[in-house]
Parts: sequence; C-alpha cells; structure tokens
Amino acid sequence: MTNYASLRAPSGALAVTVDAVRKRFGSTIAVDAVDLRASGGVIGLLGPNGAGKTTLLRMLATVLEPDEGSISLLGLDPRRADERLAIRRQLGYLPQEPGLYQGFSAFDLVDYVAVLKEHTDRGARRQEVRRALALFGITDVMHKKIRTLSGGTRKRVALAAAVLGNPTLLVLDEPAAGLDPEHRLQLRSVLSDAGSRGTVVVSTHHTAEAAALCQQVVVLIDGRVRFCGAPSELAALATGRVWIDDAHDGNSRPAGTVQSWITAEGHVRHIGDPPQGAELADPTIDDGYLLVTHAEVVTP
Amino acid sequence: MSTDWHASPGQLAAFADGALGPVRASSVEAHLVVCDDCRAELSAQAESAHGTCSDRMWTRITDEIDSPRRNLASRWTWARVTLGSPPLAAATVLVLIALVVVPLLAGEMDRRAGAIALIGLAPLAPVLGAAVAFRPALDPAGQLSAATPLATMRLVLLRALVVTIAALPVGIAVAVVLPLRSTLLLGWVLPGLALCAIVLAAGSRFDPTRLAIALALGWAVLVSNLGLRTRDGDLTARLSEWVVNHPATQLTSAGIAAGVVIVLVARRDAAVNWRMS
Repeated sequence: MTNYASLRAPSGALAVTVDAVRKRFGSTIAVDAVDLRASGGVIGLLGPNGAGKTTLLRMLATVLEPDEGSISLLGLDPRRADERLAIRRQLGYLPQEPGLYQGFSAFDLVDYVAVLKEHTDRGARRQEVRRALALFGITDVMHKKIRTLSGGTRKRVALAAAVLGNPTLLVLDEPAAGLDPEHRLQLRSVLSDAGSRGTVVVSTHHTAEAAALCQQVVVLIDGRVRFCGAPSELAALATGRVWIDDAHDGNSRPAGTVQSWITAEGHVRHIGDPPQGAELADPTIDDGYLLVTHAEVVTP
Repeated sequence: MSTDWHASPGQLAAFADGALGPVRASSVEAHLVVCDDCRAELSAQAESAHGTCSDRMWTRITDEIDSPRRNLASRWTWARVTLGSPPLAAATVLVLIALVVVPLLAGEMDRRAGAIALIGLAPLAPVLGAAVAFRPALDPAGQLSAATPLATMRLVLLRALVVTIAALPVGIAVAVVLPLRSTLLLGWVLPGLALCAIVLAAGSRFDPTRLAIALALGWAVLVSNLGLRTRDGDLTARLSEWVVNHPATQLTSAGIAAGVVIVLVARRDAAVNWRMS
C-alpha cells in the first residue's frame, strides 16, 4: 500500500508548473503551448470567451489530461495515479458550471462533497461544512433546497464546497460571476486569505477584480499566453497609448486606435495611436488588457 | 451567612456538569443557597470552563439541528456517495423495478417467457449499475466531485457493488415467485457478475455505456436464441443445462469475475475521468 502521507510537495517546489501544454478538441486547439509558473498568491486568468481558460483550469484541477507538455502541481505529477490522489487531497476546484443536486439542501450538498473529499469523521465533517458555509454567509439558508436558492447563492454553495478542508491549491473557474457586489467583496477576502496560505488560480472577466486581488495576471488569447505579469505591468503596457479628447463623437474610431468609447464623464477615451488634439491619460489595467487583446497594436 | 463545611471543588464541578445524583445534588444546592464562598467558587469554576463547556454544548446543539434527516444516506458515508447520489439512486430503483415487473408480467402470460425474461434481465442489472456509476455526465454534480480524492475507481466499484447487492435478493425472490426450477435460482448470478466486471475493467478505456449496451444485447441474443431453438421440450431445462448451470459457463464466469475484481482492487486509485474531455 502506498504511503500517501509521504507524498507531500517537495519543499521549494513551485505550486503550479505548466510546460508547453497543448490540448485539442477535434480540430480546435483549446490550449496551445502554454507555459505557466506560480508559487503562492492569487493568479488571475484573463481572456475573452473561448480563449482556453476553462480548459487550462480543468487540466490544473486534474480532471483533464493534456495532449502534449507537462503539468506539475504542488511538486507532484498528476499523470501518476498515486501522486494525483495526493494532489487532489490538497486541491479545491470550482467548475465553470457546477451542477448541484436540486433536491439537496445546501448543507447536504456541501456535506456530500466533504465525504468525497474523505472527511470521514461525521462530527468533524459537519463542523468543517458549517465553517465553509459560514465563510460565504450561507448559514441562514443552509437547510433550504438548492432549487429554491438564487443563482448567486448556488454559486456560493459551490464555492463553499471548493474551500472545504482549506486546500493548498484552489482552482476556481469564474468564482465572481453572478455574485452581487457585497458577496464579491466577501469572496475577495476569502481568496486573498487563501492566497496568503497557498496558491489560488482564478479565471475572471473582470479586469478590475483581477487588479484588486491578483499578484499575477495571465492573459490568454486563442489558447496562447499573450501576457504574464503583475496587474500594474499590464496597465503599464498602455502607458503613452491612452488618450482623452472631446472632438470625436465616440461612435467612429479614429485610425490607429484599437478602441474608443465615451466615458461616464462624457469624454471620449481612445487606446492606441493619438487622434488629433487628444491629451495623454493615465492607463488602467482595462486599457492594458484591451491593448493586449488586439495583437496587432502590441509592442512587446 | 457561612458554615464550617464547604463543598469540595470536585463536588462543585460535578454539580455544574449535572453528574451528581439527585440526593447529593439537592444537598449541594441547599448549601450553595446559604454559602457565599461556595457560590463564588462555583461561578469561578464555571467561568474558567465556560469556553470549552459551552463550545461542546454548542457543537452538540448545532449538530442536532443540522441533522433533520436521520436516514440511511446521512448516517453512513458509503451510502452517502452511492445511494445518496440521486442519479444512481434513481437508476438502482429503475433497474430493480424492471427486474421485478418484466419477468412477472411475462410469467403471467407464459411460464417460458417469464423464465427467459428473468434469465435475460437479471444478469444485466449489475452491468447497468456499473455503467451508470461511471458516467459523470449523468451526474449533475459530477463536475463538482470530479476533482475529489474519492472520484476514482473506488467510487465506481462502490457504486457498482451497491447496485449488484440490491439486485441479488430481488432477482432470487422473483425466481422463487415465478417459480423457476431450483437449479435456475442462482445460476444467473455468476454470469451477471462476470458481465459487470468486464464493464468495470474496460470502462476506463472504452465508453462504459456503449460497452454495457453491447454486452446486454449479446446476452439477450444468447438467451432468446436458445429460447427459439427449444420450441419443443422443456426450455427451463435447456436454460438450466446450457446457459446458467453449465459448469463451463459458471467456471468461466467465476474466473472472469474474480480476475477482474482483483485487477480493479489493485487499480482502485486509477482515475476514471482523467482522459475524458
């Protein structure tokens, strides 16, 4: 019998190492030669729909095998059955569409996942389930059936299931989607706490969310890593490329700009080459992201 | 007011825990009413023990409140991950109903048809259980549970085992009710286990549902073909002789089932969803 206790992450090992990983579904290449390194903290995956974020996260959650390349999680190899089991014992995963048993109560559902996560002692398990539910503020509705809960609450139930047992590695696919601002803040504090103890990989569409939470952001486009660095570095990409002017109506895009829109203050904001008479503005992470997603304008 | 006699700290602690008998408790209580020192001692004790004691009590209370359903599935963890999973529970119930209804209805019309239906269906119940146990797609919470340590061959084996154990007594009971000749009562069990074991063994490489359907069709063709060839003569005798009680059939089945189960138990940590897209 294998001694799983001995299968701990070797000290000094990176929490996540992805080397030249490729995954295709039929003729579509979902993830193409992706490299990634992470050693603790919160890592944000940004990118448009269909960029390969979910596929990459599923591979990091040990539920999908890469076609090529290698992945190492917590210093262990998910291709080996015994090491994969050791990884899963320290892993929390939130799928993009976590299906839940409609007839279960929130408590019973999280308890069910706790059993699958090998929390065998009944009393300790229930206490851990209550802790996870309380973390996301679901205590008062935990005995209601899933089918009577709102979409945001269901998302929080699935999140509670993911953080059971304080995993060293959290892989969360769009955890903030569908949450109201208050619960988004709650999630942010849970994730920054988890990031201070281990590694959290999240995908998100909210650049502001990533800027507020992540030490490292990765922009994925068409299955390839287009940018990897600190959120401030992503914003800095747009330095000298963001312009404000009031001459254009915002509906037409001046030549050389990748994006133009009317801001809440009524100004027109451009990203790219300066339109005539425009003034330079301070870049945000949004500007950097928009520049990166429009490859032709990026200067590496 | 004070007295010479005082309750010992041990007595006070036992009193606070309600561990004194009624006689001693009422005597300590009577003393507490008149003795300031012992009241102070008791409240000091209660304060120092407050954290742990009230925590314990609180845990007990919440645990009581949190267990409104004291059924099988909430009590045992194995039941929680097998029959506690609604798709598997539904599949098990459907399989058992089919196992009872179809042979008995067929048996009402014709005894031979009842025998064919039972011998044709009963060995397939564990196979279907195994196939259902494999499908994360049939499980609404399959995605959520996919990355958990238990989501391996262990879970599939456990789920297949539960369906098989549920099917065994039901199949035998139906055979008794029909009634089949005694040699047929148990003859279907080993072929059923062998078919189930084949699905379990090959299910991590091939699509387990297709495999189960193919095996089910093969078994049905075998049994009904035999039924057709023996229009005259005693069908149950033929079935008994060739399919279910033939030593070669039984030995082969037992061999397959045992061999596969040994392999599977050795590979119990293998993931069943690792290659799935």
